Amino acid sequence: MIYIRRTIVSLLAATLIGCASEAQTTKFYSLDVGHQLHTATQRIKVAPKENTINIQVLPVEVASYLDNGGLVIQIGEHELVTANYHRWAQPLKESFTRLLIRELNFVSDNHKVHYEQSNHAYSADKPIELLIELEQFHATDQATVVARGRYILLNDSGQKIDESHFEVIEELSRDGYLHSVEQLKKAVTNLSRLISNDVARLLIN
Amino acid sequence: MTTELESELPPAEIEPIKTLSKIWLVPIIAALIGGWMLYFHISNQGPQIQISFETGDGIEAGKTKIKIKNVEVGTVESLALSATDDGVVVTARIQNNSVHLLKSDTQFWVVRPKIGKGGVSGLSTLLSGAYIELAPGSSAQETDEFIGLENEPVTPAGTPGLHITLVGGSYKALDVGDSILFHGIEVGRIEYVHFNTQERVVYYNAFIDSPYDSLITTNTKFWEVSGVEVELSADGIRVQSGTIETMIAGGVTFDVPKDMVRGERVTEREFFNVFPNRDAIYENRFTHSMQLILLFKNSIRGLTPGAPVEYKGIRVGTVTRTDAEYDEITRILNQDSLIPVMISIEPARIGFSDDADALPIAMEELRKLLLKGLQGGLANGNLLTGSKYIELEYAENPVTELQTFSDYMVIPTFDSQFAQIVTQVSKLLDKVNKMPIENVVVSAEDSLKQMTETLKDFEKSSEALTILLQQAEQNQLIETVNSSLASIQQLTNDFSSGSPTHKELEKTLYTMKKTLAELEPLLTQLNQKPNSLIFNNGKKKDIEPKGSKP
Repeated sequence: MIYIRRTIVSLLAATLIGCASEAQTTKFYSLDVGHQLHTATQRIKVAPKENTINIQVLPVEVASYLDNGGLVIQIGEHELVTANYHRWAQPLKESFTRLLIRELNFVSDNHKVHYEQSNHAYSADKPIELLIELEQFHATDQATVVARGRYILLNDSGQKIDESHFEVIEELSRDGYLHSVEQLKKAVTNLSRLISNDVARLLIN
Repeated sequence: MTTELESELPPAEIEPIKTLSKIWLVPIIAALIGGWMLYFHISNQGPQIQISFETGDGIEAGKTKIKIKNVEVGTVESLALSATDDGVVVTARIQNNSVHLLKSDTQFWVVRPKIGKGGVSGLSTLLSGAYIELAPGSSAQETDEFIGLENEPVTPAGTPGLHITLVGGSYKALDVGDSILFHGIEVGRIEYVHFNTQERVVYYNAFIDSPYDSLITTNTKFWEVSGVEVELSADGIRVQSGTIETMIAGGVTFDVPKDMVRGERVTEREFFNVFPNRDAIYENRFTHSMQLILLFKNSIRGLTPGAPVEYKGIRVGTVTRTDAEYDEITRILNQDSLIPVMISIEPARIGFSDDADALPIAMEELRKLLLKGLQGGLANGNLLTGSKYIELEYAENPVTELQTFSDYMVIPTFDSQFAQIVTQVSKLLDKVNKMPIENVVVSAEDSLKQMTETLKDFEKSSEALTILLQQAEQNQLIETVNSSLASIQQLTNDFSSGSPTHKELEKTLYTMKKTLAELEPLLTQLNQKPNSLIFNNGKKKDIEPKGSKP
């Protein structure tokens, strides 16, 4: 009788041990916070200068698989895996839009163009609008991160002025999602330069 | 060979016959049988009779049968014209077992197909041929000569019941075969109709079947029930009709009036009057009456003999004459000539007995009433037909002396209803003529003008008031709308961007989003492996990107 009791207790203990596992914690990443890519002396002017062109950046439209909250990695040519424990701290479209506007304003400071976020308020004097469609924004198993999509420039009448496709690839030098986020941030900066040059070419020159 | 045969046969011996041959038995026996049959037939055949008819239509010698209740009792043997050539004589032989039916009152008639008011009869003779029907009598005397009837007797001889005679008016209202009803049941029929040219009255011989003959008493009254009686009264319309047969063929019914005793049973032929309807029984059952005269100066058109004389709606008499054939009237076309109307008032209707002794007493009583103001006048009986009757009522100015006309007491008269209306209308028109209508018209015109001006002023005031009310309504409406808009604006401001409510809402939504984001891994895990909360074996770690190898 005693032996049976001991056996049962042992089995229960083993079950509990088996059930016990190290809890995996979730890590959150933010796109538009972190080390500043620019020096402290390079201030970004919030208020537009006189005689600057106002461009309103519409909220970026991201692919649905990117909007699940988790960071994505591409395995092979077609497989996309969303991480469960590595997640964006804020919705990607919000942080991407904020970061892009900030970088655009920084890059275009000399080009007399001011970017601001669209509030969709009615205005008789409708400004130029910039629409970004993000198709890819993730790491790959090739030690790179990729940002691919298109941007569209609309005039004050709502007509398309320009449409361009973009693909920015940055290399990963370290493992981990943290470095991937840093490189994705760098990709956004490069994208802002592309857009700024294009806008300057179309509107200023 | 032949010679040999002749030599063998002996010679024949011829002897004379001494007795009768047996072959004669056959005809003898046959003759005996025939003779016996003849004797049997002659001895058993019934008597021969002769029946006289007006015509031999449908009768054939040797074929036409004589029947009683569809049982054959005889056969017609021959048919010949009568000695006077005004009819035919049918010779028939009756069966022996039916000899007892040949009484002096036995009736014979030919049954042929016949269509009449009572229906169709004798259709079977269309195929079988006419036959003679026999109705045995009840007399003790026997005979072999009969006079045939042309039609089936209404009442076969020997039928138990009562024979009576009904006395009708001057017009024939009933026919042979018409039914006599008692409370809707046929209890008899009319047998014979005779018009007395001297009395100018129609007599009907009728037969009442037993046991209904016990209903006939000395106080029994008969009246016609042909057609439909319609009575319009304050209670509504009452329609009374006889049976369909009486409506088509005619009939008569009888009963004892409710206010009379039953009387003694009638056992022998009696005479009874036939009234045209039930009401006539009560109207014409008094035997004693007083004759009086009314003299009218206006037209009496619509008043006919037989019209009632009423007092406050109660019948007290009858109009008997409306002609002017009196010795006292010589020039009827004179301007002041009066039209006499004779009426009869039954004392029994005004509270006296119906006998001769009551007549003078009733007359004296009537005289006193006339002196008190009782007068007579024409009244409209029926507006559709224009018939009139005599109405008795009291006048305000009674006469002081009564007159006589042709030895009859005269009842004073008053104007007819129409004449009274004419008089009253004339008086009314005179009053209207005397009225100062012109002055009234002028005053009315002035009043109308003033009223018109007043109405115009009122209309103006009304329009102003309407405008004022509309403005007030509009102002109130505008205020209401402004108030609603202010409320909506307030609501919009509360929820507009930057307002505390909006910020609170955003904060709440953000918190919800964040919570959902934190729950998403767990939900994904549970979706992939529902038991992973308990059994966490084999949980995979996230695939992490690798950096490039140096």
